[in-house]
Amino acid sequence: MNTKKLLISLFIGLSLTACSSTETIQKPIEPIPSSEICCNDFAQFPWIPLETNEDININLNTDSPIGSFSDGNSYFNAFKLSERSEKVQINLSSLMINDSVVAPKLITLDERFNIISTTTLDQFNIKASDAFTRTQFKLKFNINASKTPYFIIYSSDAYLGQSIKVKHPARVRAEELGEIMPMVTDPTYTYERFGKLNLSIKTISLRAYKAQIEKEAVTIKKAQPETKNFYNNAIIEAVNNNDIPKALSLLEEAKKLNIKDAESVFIKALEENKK
Amino acid sequence: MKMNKYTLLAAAVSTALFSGASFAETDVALDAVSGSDTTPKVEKVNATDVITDGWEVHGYMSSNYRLIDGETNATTFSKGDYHVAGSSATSESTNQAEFVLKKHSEYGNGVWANYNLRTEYGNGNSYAYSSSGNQKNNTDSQFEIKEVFIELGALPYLGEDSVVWAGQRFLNRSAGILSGEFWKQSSGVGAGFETKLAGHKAGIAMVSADPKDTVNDTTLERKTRTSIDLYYYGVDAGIGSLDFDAKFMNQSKNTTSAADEAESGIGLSVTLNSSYYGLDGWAQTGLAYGTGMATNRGVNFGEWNDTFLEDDNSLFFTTYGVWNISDKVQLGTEFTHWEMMEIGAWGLDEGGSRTMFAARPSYKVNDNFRLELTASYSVEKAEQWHAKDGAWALVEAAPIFTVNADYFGRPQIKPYIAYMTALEDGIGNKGINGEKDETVVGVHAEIWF
Repeated sequence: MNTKKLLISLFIGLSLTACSSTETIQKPIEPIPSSEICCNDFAQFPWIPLETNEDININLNTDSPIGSFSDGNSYFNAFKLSERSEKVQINLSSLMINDSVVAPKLITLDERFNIISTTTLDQFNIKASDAFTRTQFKLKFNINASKTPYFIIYSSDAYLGQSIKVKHPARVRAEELGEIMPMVTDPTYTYERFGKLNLSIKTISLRAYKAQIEKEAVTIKKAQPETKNFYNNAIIEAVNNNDIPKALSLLEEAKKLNIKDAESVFIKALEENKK
Repeated sequence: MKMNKYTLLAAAVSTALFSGASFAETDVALDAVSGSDTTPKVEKVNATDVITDGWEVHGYMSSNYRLIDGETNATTFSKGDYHVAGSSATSESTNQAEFVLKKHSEYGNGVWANYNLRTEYGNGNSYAYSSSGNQKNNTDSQFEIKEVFIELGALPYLGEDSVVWAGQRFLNRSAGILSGEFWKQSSGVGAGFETKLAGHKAGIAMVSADPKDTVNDTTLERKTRTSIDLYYYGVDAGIGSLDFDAKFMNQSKNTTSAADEAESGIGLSVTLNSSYYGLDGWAQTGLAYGTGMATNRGVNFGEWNDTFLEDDNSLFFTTYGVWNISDKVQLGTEFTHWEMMEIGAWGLDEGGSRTMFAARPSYKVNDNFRLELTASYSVEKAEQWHAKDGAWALVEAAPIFTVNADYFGRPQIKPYIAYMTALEDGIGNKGINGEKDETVVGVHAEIWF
């Protein structure tokens, strides 16, 4: 091999690449105007129903609804846990792609849409990439679906513009395997509004309920004395007028009202009418 | 949580099951999560239920296209002897691929298990192959299992911070960043236990390895080498944390052994992990002493160096780290001194020493391009080997092309040119044809995922 030629081409290549150096320009973060908010309170949020076990990809993008949160307006996805789930394990991942990531915030709500808990970013672990997964923020927690059936994931305004530096895979490998520590530049990811997340739901215990079959109570209603008198008199009058069908229907009604002596009144009236 | 008769019953049952275990109360198998005393809703989570489970695949590839005077070559220019820094120009492996398979499982009672498998092909192979299949003609550096072991953690009767492991691994390794030399490890088949004592990681392990010469040679008796390791890590020292290691080694002699070959050895070391000497960055500093079998830098245990003599001993000092000067500039340095006080097995009963200083500035032009320079200067004093001191210098320049992809592993391609020379002509000349110096060019590609 001609060392000179290689040297020359190497340095030409080097100088060309050095010229292509670019600086990234930080874009100012503009808050989302309140006019774009989808709903006034949590109860009106569009809730996505979840199965007992599910693995779904979430895209926070311009198609996502916008909600108003304590830390500003934000794009979000809102979920309702399955009514068949009791204890549920939730795995939430936010993927670091190119140079950005959603720094997620997750709030849980009870059935009356009161906020029960809110996550902070330091609760998330950083999971290094492997052959099949990207580097990601990862949060694993258990939730009781009967007490906190709702949760919302959003990209908080409070985090926007900040960034995180994660270990280069070469460093991860070196630390894990005790290899020689490489000199590599650790990648940095900026927190942005839009990104890809993954949500995995695993029901650990199913929700049970105890059947509440109540025996129908037999209530005996007592007719008022005025009602009694009314029916008895009406029956007598109908019999006296020889209007037997009317007397019979009055008797039926009286029986339903539990007027026990209506039948004897009817018979007595019949007998007296014959005389 | 409200205690009710179900919880109490469950606690009683599990306590009975785990009787004698001091951690039983955390392992209540039944847990009433809601409902009233009269209509409790009871869920059952078995201690053995798998809560988390998953495989992870990691890998590494290194392809070093290196020609010296137009040929591939197996030389590493004595980098293992600290003559030159470890770099692309002093690495012989033409093509190396590694896969790491890991399975991590967590169970209902907090117990976790790891299965680790690390395979490698081509580490140490210096030939370039065609598709015709010459690889099989080289019986060295073939596909190998480098590590395969199981770890079980947080067993209820051993404690939350406990780990038991068994299998083949290299335990507690440390290597200089610029020499590239491992000075601390226990590499072999064994078993161990780790826990926390007074908030610090404490471990005991037993690791065995058979010397290369005896493998597959039925005419030679085996002389399996065994090391019992004791370690205590993470002791706060104000400026950093200290790791203490002690290794007690033994082996048998065989028919090829010298009369005074060491059958035992003791190695001791203390390692300081700190910032870069008070600046932004990291540094690791190690001091090790070894005698007899443990003469190789005290705590470097493996199949190698099975012929040290009883009186052999050495003292080793190393310090290396990376200084983050700015977002764009980093500086890696290493200073290593090995005082070979007496190594009769190598013809150095009067002693000798090896010293190396190396530095590697790195400048990040942008996310996709970096420049790296490596320089080293070494001195070897060993009158029984060479009357004059030997000294060597190396300088290597390399532009590094990379992508800022986070998925499928940040590949980088690094063309390089290196020049190295013996400063004392005739002592450890670097030219592969015997000349004083050598220039090496090549292209080194790497990917980590």
